[in-house]
Amino acid sequence: MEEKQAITCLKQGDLNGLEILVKRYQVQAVQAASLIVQDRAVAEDIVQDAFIIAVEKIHQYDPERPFGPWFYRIVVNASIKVAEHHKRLISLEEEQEGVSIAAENLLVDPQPGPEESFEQEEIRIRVWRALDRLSPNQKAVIVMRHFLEMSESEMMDQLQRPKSTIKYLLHEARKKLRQFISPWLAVQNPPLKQSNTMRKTIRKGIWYE
Amino acid sequence: MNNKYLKYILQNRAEIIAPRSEIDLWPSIQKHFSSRHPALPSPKGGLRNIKIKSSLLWKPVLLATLLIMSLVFATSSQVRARALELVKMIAGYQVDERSESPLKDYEEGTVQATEYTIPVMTMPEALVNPPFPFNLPYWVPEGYTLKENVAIANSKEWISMNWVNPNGGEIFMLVEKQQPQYNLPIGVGSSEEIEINGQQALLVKGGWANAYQWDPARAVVIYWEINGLYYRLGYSGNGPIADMNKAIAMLVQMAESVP
Repeated sequence: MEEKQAITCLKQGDLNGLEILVKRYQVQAVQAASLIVQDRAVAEDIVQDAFIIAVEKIHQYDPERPFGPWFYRIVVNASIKVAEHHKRLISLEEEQEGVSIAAENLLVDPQPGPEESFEQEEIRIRVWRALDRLSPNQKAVIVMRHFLEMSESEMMDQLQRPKSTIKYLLHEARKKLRQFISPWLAVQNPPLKQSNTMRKTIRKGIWYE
Repeated sequence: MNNKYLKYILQNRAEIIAPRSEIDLWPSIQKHFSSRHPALPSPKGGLRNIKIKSSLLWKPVLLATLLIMSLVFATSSQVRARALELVKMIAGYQVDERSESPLKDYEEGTVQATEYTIPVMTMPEALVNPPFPFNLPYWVPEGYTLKENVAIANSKEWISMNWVNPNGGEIFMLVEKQQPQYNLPIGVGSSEEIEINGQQALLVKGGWANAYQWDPARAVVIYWEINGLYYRLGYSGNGPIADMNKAIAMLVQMAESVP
């Protein structure tokens, strides 16, 4: 059964189409929710509820538009609510003072070679931590744009906000992300002629601080 | 930041928190719907049964369910914790402003509720043997007639009755011996304080409709106290209330005619 056929079934009150949609969207949805709430069990609950809500509100869904963004909006909104409720945001305003922005060009290679794997691993973990420190709304826009790969137009449509607002939210989220990781990257970006031995020492020093 | 790498990091992080190979929600979702629709997957009909006909909202049985659920809300710590954020006190009534109907919680099993049938008797019978002394309004809008049957709680704590007109308009009145000790579940921003004969009263605009959503034009209800009894008077029509101010004026006049 194709997705459109499954949705048509649901709109007619036939639950046969539901399994197709669950199997197709559950992984992306649970992972997206996990990135926002940082808890797999909670994320699974959110997505399960989202499927139930989607079934109940399927009459509101316009079949001329893709199902994914419509469904992900339910997931993301619920995730934001939960994340805000749990107050997992850590305020680190003080740590942002005096940062230097030198991070842009360091984060370039998704598949590092053996010599760089240590550095890449460090960067990855630092970015994870930085992501954790974003507000639920900021995480949500980052997840929608860069994980769910929704276009700005789709985000505009689903969040029902003007494009300028979407751009602003994304800009602020990325800016905050840079600010969170820049203090570390500024240290990690040593003078050009610094030896590899020195660089590793510095990194290890920070890693185990 | 490089978008490609950010995506890679997000995917990596998501895979660690929730590995795709371990995600399978279908059994629990299937179980959820099967509990309501044992024949899942079944051809057609299932979803329609979930919905609650809006016309039922004024029926005494469902009204009783709502009242009981409200009581459970007041005692369930888990639900209370969530609801407290939105609970307000208006004219002596505690209102719980919610985005979704408590019926949804009931349907989903997160709130326990007891449903029972309320005895219905004719108004003459009720007046011969009233559960407690109460007064009917002197003024009723033109065209409305009191329905023959009234509902009286088993506990004798409240009585409800309806007036109807040929155009589908319906006015409902419920009189309680004691002030509700539970939170009234209503839509966000739907309540305000008014006066009935110079006394504080609660006005609620709207009602719970299909899909568990608050419909601001679904109904209008006034809550007030007089002579130690707690009255609520509500109006609903065949469809959305076209002139809310007119409906409110009508209810206020009727409420002020209760001696």
